[in-house]
Amino acid sequence: MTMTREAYEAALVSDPFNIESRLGYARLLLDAQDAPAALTQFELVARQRPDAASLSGKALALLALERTPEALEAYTAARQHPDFTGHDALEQLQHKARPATGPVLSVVGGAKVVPLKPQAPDQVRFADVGGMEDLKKTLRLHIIEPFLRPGLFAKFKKSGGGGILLYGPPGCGKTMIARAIANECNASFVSVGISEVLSMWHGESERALAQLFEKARAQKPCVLFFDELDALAFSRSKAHSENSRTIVNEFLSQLDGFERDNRDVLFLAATNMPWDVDQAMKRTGRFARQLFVPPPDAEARKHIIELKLRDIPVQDIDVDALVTATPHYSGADIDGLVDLAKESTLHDILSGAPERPIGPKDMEYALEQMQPSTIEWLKTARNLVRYAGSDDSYRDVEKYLKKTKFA
Amino acid sequence: MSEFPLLSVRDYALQIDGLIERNRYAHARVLIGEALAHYPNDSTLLFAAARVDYDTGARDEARHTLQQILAHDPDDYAARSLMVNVLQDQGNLPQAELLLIELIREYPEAGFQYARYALLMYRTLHIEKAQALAREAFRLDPNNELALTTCLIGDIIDGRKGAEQAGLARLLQGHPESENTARMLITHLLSRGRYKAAKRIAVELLKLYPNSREVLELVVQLDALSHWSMLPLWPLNRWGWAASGALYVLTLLGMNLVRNQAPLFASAATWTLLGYCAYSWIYPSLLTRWLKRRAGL
Repeated sequence: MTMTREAYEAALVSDPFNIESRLGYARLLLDAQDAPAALTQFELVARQRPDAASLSGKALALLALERTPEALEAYTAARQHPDFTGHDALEQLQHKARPATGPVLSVVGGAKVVPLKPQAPDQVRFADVGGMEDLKKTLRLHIIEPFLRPGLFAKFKKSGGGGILLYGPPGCGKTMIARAIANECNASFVSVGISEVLSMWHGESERALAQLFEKARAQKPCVLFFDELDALAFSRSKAHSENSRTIVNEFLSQLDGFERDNRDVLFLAATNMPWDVDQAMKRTGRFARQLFVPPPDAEARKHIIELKLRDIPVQDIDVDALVTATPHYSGADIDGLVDLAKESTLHDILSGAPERPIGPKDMEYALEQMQPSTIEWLKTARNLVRYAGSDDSYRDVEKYLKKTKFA
Repeated sequence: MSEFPLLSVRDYALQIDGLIERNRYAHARVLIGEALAHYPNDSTLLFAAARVDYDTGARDEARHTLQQILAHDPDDYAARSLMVNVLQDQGNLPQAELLLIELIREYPEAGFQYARYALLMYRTLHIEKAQALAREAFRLDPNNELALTTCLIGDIIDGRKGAEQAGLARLLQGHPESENTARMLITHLLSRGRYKAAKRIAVELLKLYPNSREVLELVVQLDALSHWSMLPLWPLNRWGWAASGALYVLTLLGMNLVRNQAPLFASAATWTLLGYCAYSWIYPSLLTRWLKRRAGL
């Protein structure tokens, strides 16, 4: 009998370790074109029982996501299992595949042979993040290198470790930077977003949180990233509900790693509202280092604008002038700005004007309409720095405000 | 629509409450919309919608939603309780009072409602009635923060310093991290002319609630009061009318003395005095206005 999605979900809620149900659920998701969700399910099955069915399914999901090299790798792994049956699309792909040109193995640290992790083409790295050189330098020194070369740092008695909290106005690339850090560290990336947090507010929150940490520990080396940390670690002095306090307590206990091994797990978090994060989270060994992710600088804005204008018809647009006209604009704001310019052009064309590319007039219109979304955040931060800046919590913000002469 | 399986009303309400607690109103609205699509007319969800509207300043929408709940269930305690706030904010104080009396009649053991009634009476300057209500609230629920606060307000109004300090101590002991306690402490320090100490507490409040315009205004006002250029006005700020009266008498005596003893300095003394009067009259408001502007208020 064919089960519905809801029936599978109900079955998995009551018996989460039932491999057949999960496999069926994953196939159903794949048939429903929900490849990312299907991939997650196939990966869960493969971790529990890495057989032909789970690995082939994973390969199909990866293929659907156009992650061909990884799909081929999973398919090759599936071939090693006894009850393997071929799949047309993947067979064709394997025939077309050329031998890898780069080395499969690299020698690191003397005689220790470490396999290189396959790099998916869509994986964001620091080179993809335009500008923000100071921030990238800080991140490399304080996060990536201690993670990649613990021996070197130990020699200088410089401890790495501890979590990092990225904070700043919305839409300025905190999540993208966190992903880039994971890729630079050549580590798995487990992201905890607001939907996971929401589901923790009912049911067994402690268990759900513990499972997340266990998942990260099982995938070492791993970057465990908490997006919108303020939602999960909301200040206990402001919280009214007991549940909020319980979650923070469990979170602290997991971060401290009592009776658990958190080595090779890097904790990263991002928030727009650092003032709402529980103070205990910011102590040594937890998210002791807080880094301000400012709105993109001129170089970063230029990079974003060029990226957004690529592959669309534009004429006579002075990118440098646009960069100068968009101080404090976030990446999301620039996206909105280009969208407005597109709308202006399309409006003209649809009103009967001859078809034309996006021009300076459209950009002027967009600039008139648009206000950077970071302003409110920066005003709040400015007042905090002005009146409550004595404890150095927002020193980076202060530097940014001075540098940009934000009034 | 969510990609997750259908949640129960209770689970939706828990998530929405969590979002409201964290001031994530936009997200809460989306979730309420989703929940109401599954459970239309559910009073718990409608109440959550009214709370979001109320907290975001949409008083009319909140009132409309609460009326919708009360049309189905006129006895809904939470809806009536929030309706009191809505009515007060809209200036409909008689209606708010009627509703509060109704709530107190039905729940005579609820000290919290007595305390709210006391606050309403303070607002309408029925001080004695407010103090009696505050005492009753305190008797019914001696640990309730609002009951303690209303008693403390009464003590401050009466100028009973011992009682005021005792009330404040009780608040600090029971609710040290509460915003209300911090505000009462600021009032207490202000009444004693300790502006810098009051400002330090207000700054701590601002660190906790940097988005709050009200707290920012408080900090700015205290910043103005504790500004170095306001030092010559400290006696007037500290002792108010008494200081003004004393200054007037001293001026009369001083001017007579100067005219008789050193007539050459009389003109300079008169101008200095006039300058001080003009400065005390104009400067504080100018400084406050400038500081407010600097803070973006």
